[in-house]
Order: sequence, then structure tokens, then C-alpha cells
Amino acid sequence: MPTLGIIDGLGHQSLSTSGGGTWNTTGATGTFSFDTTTKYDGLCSVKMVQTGASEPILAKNVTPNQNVFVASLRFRVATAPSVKSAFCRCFAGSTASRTVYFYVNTDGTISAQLGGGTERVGPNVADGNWHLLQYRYTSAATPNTCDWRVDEVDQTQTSDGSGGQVATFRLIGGNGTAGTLTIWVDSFIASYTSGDYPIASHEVLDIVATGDGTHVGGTNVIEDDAGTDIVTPGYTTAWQKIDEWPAVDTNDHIRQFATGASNYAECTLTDTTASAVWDAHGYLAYMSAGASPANAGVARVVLSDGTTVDDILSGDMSETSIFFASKLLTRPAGGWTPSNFNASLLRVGFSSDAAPVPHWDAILLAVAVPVSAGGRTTKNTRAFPLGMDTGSGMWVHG
Amino acid sequence: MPNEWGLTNWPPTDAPPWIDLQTSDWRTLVAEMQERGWTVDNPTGGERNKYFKDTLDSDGHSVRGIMVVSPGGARYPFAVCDDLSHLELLVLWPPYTCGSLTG
Repeated sequence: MPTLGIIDGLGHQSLSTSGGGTWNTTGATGTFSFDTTTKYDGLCSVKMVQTGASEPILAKNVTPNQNVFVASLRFRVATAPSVKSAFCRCFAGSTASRTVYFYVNTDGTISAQLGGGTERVGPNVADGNWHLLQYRYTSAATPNTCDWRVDEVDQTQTSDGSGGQVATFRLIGGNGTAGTLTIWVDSFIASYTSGDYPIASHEVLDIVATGDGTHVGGTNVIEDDAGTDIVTPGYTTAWQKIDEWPAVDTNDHIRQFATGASNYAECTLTDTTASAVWDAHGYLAYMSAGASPANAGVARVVLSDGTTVDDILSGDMSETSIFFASKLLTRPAGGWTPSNFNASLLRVGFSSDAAPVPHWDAILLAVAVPVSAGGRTTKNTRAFPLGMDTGSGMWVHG
Repeated sequence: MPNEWGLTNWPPTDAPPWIDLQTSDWRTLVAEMQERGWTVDNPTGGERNKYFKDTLDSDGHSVRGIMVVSPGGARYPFAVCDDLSHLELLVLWPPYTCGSLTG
């Protein structure tokens, strides 16, 4: 089981850098859209249509001081671009020569190149199918290296003479303004452990609230956006206030109207039928009724007995527009299992300073699970004369 | 006369439009620009007169300028007020100020 540092199934459908919870850098955001129809799994994929006019970027900072970055993602290309186009990269330090790029070429092949090293060409991927890209970027020694695989088949390593640098970013995006690629990307996960490479074939589930638990809301403390107390018994639709993504409706939220460090609203979560649960990454959309002074609030995941797993956010929420927080949740004692995950609960509240009034607008858990034995590796979305028709396409078993 | 952002003669109407790039924090912005080969430079006499001469921050302090230079050579003005206890930073994207040491 890999030890993950980042999980993003794009279910948040955000292009915002506010708060740094979804992205730390974006550029040419008009290049991107979220596609709820053409997706590998979860709620959606992100579609990038490069126009050659400006550099598209969706980037996350990684945990500092890492020498290894192990990543895995799904991608789909329907047609080869008119010019060689980059779609994914990872770099170390602040030097372009230590960047590894993944390209789709005009003949439909994928290639990888680290710095000034030899570009290595892989298979054709411009076939309308979903493909799996796995890579391991290592910068701990000279030369920097990048091992990579396409659809679980090893490709030739690319390397560069520079070494001793630290991986700082990963990007979904292009290189400069030259790209003309249209690509769908989904189900991104990453680890900082070299031995995790290659991360086994995976899916990312987008888990949201689906019911109410037992609220400890108090009187005029935990409320919905209309000021109705969220209490048990009586209030049963709190989950509908924090389940909607993209989080654009600021009038649909749970709020804490007065201080109450032991008060909270509680919601149940979508169950998974996966055979195992690797890790969960919490995403929170939040804001407040005012910007100053600083307030406090908590978005928490607990086990069925109320034991805290981890907080997605605990602290100041005093923003007057939607901000995002995210956190790779610390695993519960003994790790996640489908059983303890399915029994887990969301709690929001616990504010020791409710001025300005904090709002919880939406919560999502991006959950990495293995593709079951004999399950799918690549998904064929073209018409195919043989095999199982799933309606939206066909799974090719790997 | 201060404008709707409380600034006088800022942003400069003749500065090049800021690039289509957003970051979550300053550290990330600096890292992104370094990775792309951006540099900094002192303003020329003409740039000093054009961008910084009559600029005032939200407290009416005059400013000192620096030019941030893209790999393509485009020169973008940034300004910091000259009150060392205040140090308000003026930038080219809304709300055109990043605040000051005093909040």
C-alpha cells in the first residue's frame, strides 16, 4: 500500500488559488474546464484545451525538502496535437534544466524528457482511450532521473546531469505558449516514497456528505444559512448544505453563529465498495461573514466512535469569498479499511471565536483505492465490436 | 486624489498588463517566476518618472520602485512605500496593494 501525499480526483472542480487548498499556481485558466461526462472515475476530469496563446498551468506545491516524487495519473487524448505539446511536468529547485516534461507528439506518441537529457518516446496514446501514466522523479543524486510507465509498461528512463536538488512542484500544464493539445486528466495521486513506484493501478473516489449524523448544535450556535438551528432531533438536511461541488453557492452553507467549542454539525459520508482504502485527502470550501478580526473553526473527520482522524482545517476562516483548504488526512490507528472508512463522519463547528461568523460551504474527501484484481487499467471510450459494453464505453481489463 | 483602492496614480495606466498567472502566496509566485527565468532591475529614469514619481500608497506615502523583467523583456513596475514602518507593497493586479506591515 503506497503512502500518499497528494490525492486529487478533480471533484472539487476549482481553478482557484485562494487559500492554496486546491491549487497553488494557475495560469490561462480559460484553457481548463471540468468534464463530468468524459472522466475516468469520480465526479469529473479536468479538460485542457491548449490554444498556443498563453501557458496553461494547474500546479500544487509539494511538501518541502523532498528528493523523490512518485506520481500516477489518468489521461485521455483523442487526437494528436498539431505541434509537440507538453501536458505534465515536475521540477526541482528553480532551474528549468531540472524539469521533466511529458509530451504528446504530432504522431500521437507520448515522450518524456528530463532537462537536457535524451527524450524518450513511448507508445501511441492519441486513441481516445484512458491511459495510466506512472512516474518517479528522483533528485537526490547525480544525475536526476525519471522512471516512467504507460499503462503499466516500463518506458526508458530519462535523466539529466544535474543532481542534488529538491522536487518542489508538479504541474498539469504546458511549456510556454506552443501547445495545441486537448487532453483530459483525472485521478492524480502522488507519494514521496521511492519504493512506492510504481503506484499500483488506482482510482480516486469523490466522497461527499450523504446524510445527517447526531448534531450537537446548541441554541443559536450551529445553524444553516437561514439561521435555523442544526440540532438533533429535528434537523436532518445539514448534509445538503456542504455536499455541492463546485463550491460556488455562498448562500448554501453551515455556519457557527456564536462561540461554542464543543458544538458541531455531523454528517455521514458516501460508502465505498472498494476492497481497500489507501488514503483520503480532505478538501474544504469556506468563508466567513467578514474579514476581520480572525475567527476560528474546524472541519473534522472522525471515526464512528467519535475518535478524531484528522482536521481538514482548524483555524482562521475569516475570508469574504470562497477559499479552499485541503489536507492529506493522517490515517487512523491501524490504517483505513473499507469498514472504518464507511463508518466515518464529518463534523464542522467547534469555534472558539465566531466573530466573524464562519461558514462551511462544501467538503469533499478524495479517496485513493486500488483497482480491484482483474479490474481495469485503461478505459476504452471508443466503439468496440467485442467485449462488455458499459454504455459510456468499455473497460479493457489489464 | 486617492482612487477606489486608496492609492494615488496606481496602478499605472501605461504599465504592461500583468501576466495570466495566479498564485496562492508570495513564496509560490517567486518560485514560479524564478523557474521561468524572470529577473529584477532598477527602473530607468524614464520609468521612474512614468511609474513612481507621483504615486502614493493608501497612507499618502511616496514610493520606491523596482522593475520585474520577464524572459521576453517585458518590464513590470512594482512599488514599496518609503515609510519603513509601513512598507505597503503596490502590485499590478486587483486590489493593487498587498497591504503593509501595519495591516
